[in-house]
Amino acid sequence: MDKILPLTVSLISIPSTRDNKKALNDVLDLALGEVKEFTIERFEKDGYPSALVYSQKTRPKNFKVILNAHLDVVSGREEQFKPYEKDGKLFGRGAIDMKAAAAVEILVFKEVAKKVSYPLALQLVTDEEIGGFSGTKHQIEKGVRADFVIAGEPTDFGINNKAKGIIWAKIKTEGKSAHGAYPWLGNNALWRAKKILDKIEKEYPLPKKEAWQTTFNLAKIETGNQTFNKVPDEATIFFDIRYIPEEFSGKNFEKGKELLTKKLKKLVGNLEEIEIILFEPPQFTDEKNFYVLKLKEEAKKVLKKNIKTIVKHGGSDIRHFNQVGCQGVTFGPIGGNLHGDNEWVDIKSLEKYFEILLGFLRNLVS
Amino acid sequence: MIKKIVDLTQKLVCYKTTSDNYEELNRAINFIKKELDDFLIEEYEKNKIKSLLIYNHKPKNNKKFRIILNGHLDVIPGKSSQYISKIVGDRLYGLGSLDMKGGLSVIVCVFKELAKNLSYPLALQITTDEETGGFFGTKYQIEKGVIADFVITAEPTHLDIVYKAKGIIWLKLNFNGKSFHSAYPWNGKNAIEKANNFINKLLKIIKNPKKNQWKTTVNLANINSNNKAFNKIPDNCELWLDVRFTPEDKKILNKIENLLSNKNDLKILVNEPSFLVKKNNKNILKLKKITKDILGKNPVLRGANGSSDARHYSYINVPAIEFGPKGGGIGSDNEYVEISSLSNFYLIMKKFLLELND
Repeated sequence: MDKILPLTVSLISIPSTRDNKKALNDVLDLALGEVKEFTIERFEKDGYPSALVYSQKTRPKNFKVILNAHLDVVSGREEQFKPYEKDGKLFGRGAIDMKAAAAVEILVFKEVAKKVSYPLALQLVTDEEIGGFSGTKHQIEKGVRADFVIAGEPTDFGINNKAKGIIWAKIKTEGKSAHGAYPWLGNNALWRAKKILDKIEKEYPLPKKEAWQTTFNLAKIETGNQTFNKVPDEATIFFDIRYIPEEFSGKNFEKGKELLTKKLKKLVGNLEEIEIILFEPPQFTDEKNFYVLKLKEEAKKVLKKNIKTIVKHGGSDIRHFNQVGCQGVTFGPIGGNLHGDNEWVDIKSLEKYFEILLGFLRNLVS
Repeated sequence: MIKKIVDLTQKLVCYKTTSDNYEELNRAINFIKKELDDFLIEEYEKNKIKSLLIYNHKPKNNKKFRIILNGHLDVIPGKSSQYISKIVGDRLYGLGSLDMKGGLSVIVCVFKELAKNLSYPLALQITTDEETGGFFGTKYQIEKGVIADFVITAEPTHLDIVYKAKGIIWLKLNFNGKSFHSAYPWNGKNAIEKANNFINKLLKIIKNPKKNQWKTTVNLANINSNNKAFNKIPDNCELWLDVRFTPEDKKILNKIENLLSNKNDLKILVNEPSFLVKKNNKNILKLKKITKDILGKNPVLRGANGSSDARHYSYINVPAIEFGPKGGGIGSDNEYVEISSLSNFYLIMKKFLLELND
């Protein structure tokens, strides 16, 4: 347990941002140095390295549990990569998102992997902040599966079992050009676009405060028309939609995607053209899932209070597992200012985090 | 006389007088000067734009011209083949034949024929920038003191009397919001939605008609934002509006400003006046009567949705109307003017000018 802090400090000291490929390799090598006695399977896609660590000689077909951690961080100022302690907090880029939790996962794995009777893996990736396509998703494509995955993202000890999915869509409206003095001779594509905005505002009003509902961000509208006295004949609306997993009505990703695309088409009117730029799955694991209940139980034991399941508006690598039917949650220690200045993690909470994970993994077999 | 008019129209069509072709505009100006070298000619120039004022005699004691006949030589661009005119039946085809070299030829010919015999001061005002706003032609001459009792600009009106026209306001409106990550919309303020709210209010004071009606209209020409990222709440949004307001709705700009919490959000790029001449103006009544005599029926008095140089005279409260021949295809490959209507226009103008001499 006394190794948590020094390992965290070493991890934070490496500026492992997306554009620093050398640092991404260095930070992974440093982490893997802790688990040399295990089988290390290395992966790489588009220059992003990742690894899967387990005690068996060859990779089991299906792990019972995977501990997932990402070692990449969002960009920060130079001094943020020089971690320091103050008032029981450790400050530095990635302190809470999520190098401290990664250190705990590594050390917990090291402690129990050879002692548990079921297949357990440690999954270390370096591209979560940019979507996890070359790390977690790539490993899944290579056949890595588990009954349950825990990613140590910051949750302040809440168990995050669902997160919104993302759709980026462009909607094109067409009209008919005419001279600006004779608008009745044309059909203004921007008026048509405006009608879509009104409809969306009516059907999906923006919540004034945080709420678990689907939201539309109207990111941009544009038209090629650059002349005042011309009625524009085309316009494009750019939407970023954050949808709740409930929109899928229990269907899997492929079917849910179809359902939601249809809904969207109906909403904007079938006349207009929709181009889907990005369609990311939501994250969803039932809160009555066996492992979720177990994790709750262990956390309650250690923290001496009831633990809540929580929702997140942004996604994590767990969504990639959900897509292939594997369950998972994000669960991590206490901290703050993620992605901001003065990012920190509560040092005491790291010990608790260690105890919870250790108990959870041990008690799965007893 | 109609032969002379058709001949002059065809000659003028050959000049490729688009607004940026100064050389060709100069050649056309020189051609007109030569045609009318028996008269007094004043040449004006501002920003390389030339215009002419040609008259029989100067108004006494700096008074007004009795009548100004106004026309422009510039045309909107077309294909090069359109600068060769051709006659098919009653139609004279060619770029600018209708807008407005046909009408211009009539007023040049009628001026040349009559001006010397008229006791009152009559002027012919010929410009080269009407299609780009008329600021350095008609408007500039007005600034230099050119003034009249009544002005007729020979724009194509199907021999209707256009006694009013809408004004033009071009606006850019800027809306600001607060940027944030799109997953947390409650922490930001979307500027495009603010702009949309403004549009909703705007559409309550300007109701665009579904067909041609004498009403103020708005064209939403552009919406844009600096934001490039899907996952960011845009903090700025710009709207471009082209408002065409009736002379009866002169306060529209104030009304739009009142919809905004901050007037600095609004930038006026163009603010051109509307115009309205009283229907019982004695010159209009006379023109109406003569037109009825020649055509056998009362002319239509109506408003115009588009603007012309006539509006510049509203700055100095001089009644100015649009009145000219019939044709079609402006802006297309097949612009034409009807020769019979050139003839009627000539007869009406001749009688009108002669009757004023009494």
